[in-house]
Amino acid sequence: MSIFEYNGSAVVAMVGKNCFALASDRRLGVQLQTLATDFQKIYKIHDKLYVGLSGLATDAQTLYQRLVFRHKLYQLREERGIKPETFASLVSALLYEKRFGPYFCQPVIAGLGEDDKPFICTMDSIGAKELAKDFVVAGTASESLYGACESMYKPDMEPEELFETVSQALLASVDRDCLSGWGGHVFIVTPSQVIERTLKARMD
Amino acid sequence: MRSCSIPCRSREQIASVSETSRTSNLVSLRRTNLAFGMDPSAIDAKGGFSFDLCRRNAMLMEKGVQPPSFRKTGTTIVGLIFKDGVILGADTRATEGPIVCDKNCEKIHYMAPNIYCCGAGTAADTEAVTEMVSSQLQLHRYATGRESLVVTALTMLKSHLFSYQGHVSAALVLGGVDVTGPHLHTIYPHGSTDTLPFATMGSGSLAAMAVFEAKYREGLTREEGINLVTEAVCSGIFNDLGSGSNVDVCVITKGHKEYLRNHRMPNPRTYVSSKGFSFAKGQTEILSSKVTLLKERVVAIEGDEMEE
Amino acid sequence: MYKKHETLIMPFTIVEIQIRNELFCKATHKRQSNARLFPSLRRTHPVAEADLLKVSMECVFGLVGNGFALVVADTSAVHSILVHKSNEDKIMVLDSHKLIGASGESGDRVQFTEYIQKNVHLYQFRNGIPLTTAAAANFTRGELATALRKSPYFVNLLLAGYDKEIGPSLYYIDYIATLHKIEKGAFGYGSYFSLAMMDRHYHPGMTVDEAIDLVDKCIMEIRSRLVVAPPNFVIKIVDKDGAREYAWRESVKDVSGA
Repeated sequence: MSIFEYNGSAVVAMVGKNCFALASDRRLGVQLQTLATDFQKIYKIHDKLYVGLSGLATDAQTLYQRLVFRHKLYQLREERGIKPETFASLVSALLYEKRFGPYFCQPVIAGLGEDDKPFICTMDSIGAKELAKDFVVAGTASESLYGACESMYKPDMEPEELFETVSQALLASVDRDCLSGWGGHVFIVTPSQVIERTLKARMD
Repeated sequence: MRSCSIPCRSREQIASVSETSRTSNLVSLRRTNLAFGMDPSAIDAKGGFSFDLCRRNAMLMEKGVQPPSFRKTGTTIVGLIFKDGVILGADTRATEGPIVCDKNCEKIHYMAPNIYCCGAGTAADTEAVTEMVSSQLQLHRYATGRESLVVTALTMLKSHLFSYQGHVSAALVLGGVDVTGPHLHTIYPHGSTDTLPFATMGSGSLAAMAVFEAKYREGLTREEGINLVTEAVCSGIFNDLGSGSNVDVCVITKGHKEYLRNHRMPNPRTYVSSKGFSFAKGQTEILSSKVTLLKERVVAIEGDEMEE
Repeated sequence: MYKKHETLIMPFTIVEIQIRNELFCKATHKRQSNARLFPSLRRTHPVAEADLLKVSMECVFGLVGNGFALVVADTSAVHSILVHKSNEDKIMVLDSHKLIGASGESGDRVQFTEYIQKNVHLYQFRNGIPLTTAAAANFTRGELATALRKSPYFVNLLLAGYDKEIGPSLYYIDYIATLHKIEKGAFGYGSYFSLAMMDRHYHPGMTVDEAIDLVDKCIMEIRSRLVVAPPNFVIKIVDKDGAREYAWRESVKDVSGA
């Protein structure tokens, strides 16, 4: 068993036209035992910046707390929210610091940058950044997510269409993964609003 | 010519975490102070690696979990010296085990305006090590006011890699043109280096080297050089499973460089339907929905509006 | 790797494997994981892997009802195949309105819960107000997570509390410091039965009587289906009137009479 499969997770981010979607499953398990189906895997950093943390839940929580801490210090110094690109570098540095004893956590970062340009990015557990223009995935369902997103993604989707696409990709993928699923959680972020939805999914 | 190759057999306890002490025996020795203070190590200004998770991770490994796989660049990276300078080339595939996780990543890293570096191995290591050295070079240029030398970069990279005894797994092809002329080096993860007229690295290095051995000669023109580099990388792309997608090329000449991102794209996407998928609105069943309106950002316009 | 269908394995076979393996390990004076002793287990019985990651023979579970939260724990102090004690109280009253039920290595359990208790008290002395349940849970997680990176405590915790504004709440914190707010939860081998029982019979807003009835069902199931079932259980409750012991469910009186 890989340590990434201990709790189970599926996280995906997709870019639309001046907007992005960040979605995750909601299961918290200990291997094959399901503990909860309302587990939060997507965290807000500021209004237009979100991070999805897949992998070992305890490390996701610890990492999130460190990220919030660092972001608050940044806000105090700079008197503004952090840019997604800068934040990605921060996460990468925090992870690479622990190169030889990593957090078992694969983050997905999504945000609206300057001029509301969407930015998405994922990393492995030691902070190798992967920037993409279309979509990024992470978690135990990542293989199926690659496939689903690869075929379902279209460039320049409007928020509502983006929501449908990302949700369908997520739901299709977690159906092929025993360790993730049990509901979905989707954030659609546009320059003017944030839409947060929970999805009805298979509960098996 | 072999400039300085340091064989290092001793893979010693840089990151060895084979703690033998069982945790349960330590219980009574543990902390007596009370908490609710800020952890002073929360931000460490000194930098460097932190090993504080090693013991816990070793414990988890001992329990039978497998260590995570990191993103690697099973790679073809090449470089050659031509008439006027150096040409570097790389494929653009990043893998995680057998999965392709990035179809178009960048493996030619910036070191200095006149120096670039191709990276193979663990992606995080190649990225971090080149970034660290490039920032040191930048500071060095500020201090001296002179163009960076390729050997400076080479020494910094190799001493970093050597000090970690191969645990920082970056295999690099370093190329650049400085005041002493064009230079091409390869650097192995353990810190040994070679100085060569043409070089290849990564899992596709054999495929690429076959092309170089057959066709390389001294005094290639720019056009011939680019074509040879492209051909070598393509040989890796098509014959090595760890390499794939597109060819990136970087040409460095005296006082000039040209980064040809996606110089050749021999693997275009053909399997996507022209219409794509479309989902009817409201097809996905929703349990709850919450909409938060974001405040408009107020922009202060500077000027003397309050004149009296 | 083969394509496979996950199959349900009766938990007592797992327990048997566990006991057998522990005996093997004890016999060789080596702490080895099942995986190394029986490599084939890992592929054929995914559930059996559970013990790799610390599933103890203890049974701790809890639930939230209407205006109260309950924590139930077995009271056996077991070492290897020996039962040292059958009236060991594993639920600590953290402060006036908090309970913490713990399972895991007994030294760690006592050490860690006391450490948390003293710190929760210290906070109250210093600041004049008690920690909320959520704050105490997050503090506990933080301490566990910090310890995890030095020398880990093997304790799984259920933290129940009652706050005036919020009402009752229950937090799940496992030994690797995963924190989650839950309505019902369980640890150890008992969890295979009590979680199933609670999944079937739990509903939000249960009365105390209904909840106790459910707890008894869980205990009955553990006693009748678990090979290594502990004989005695303690039930503690926390509501607006505070945290206190509610009842014991004993089938064996402690021999030492302590």
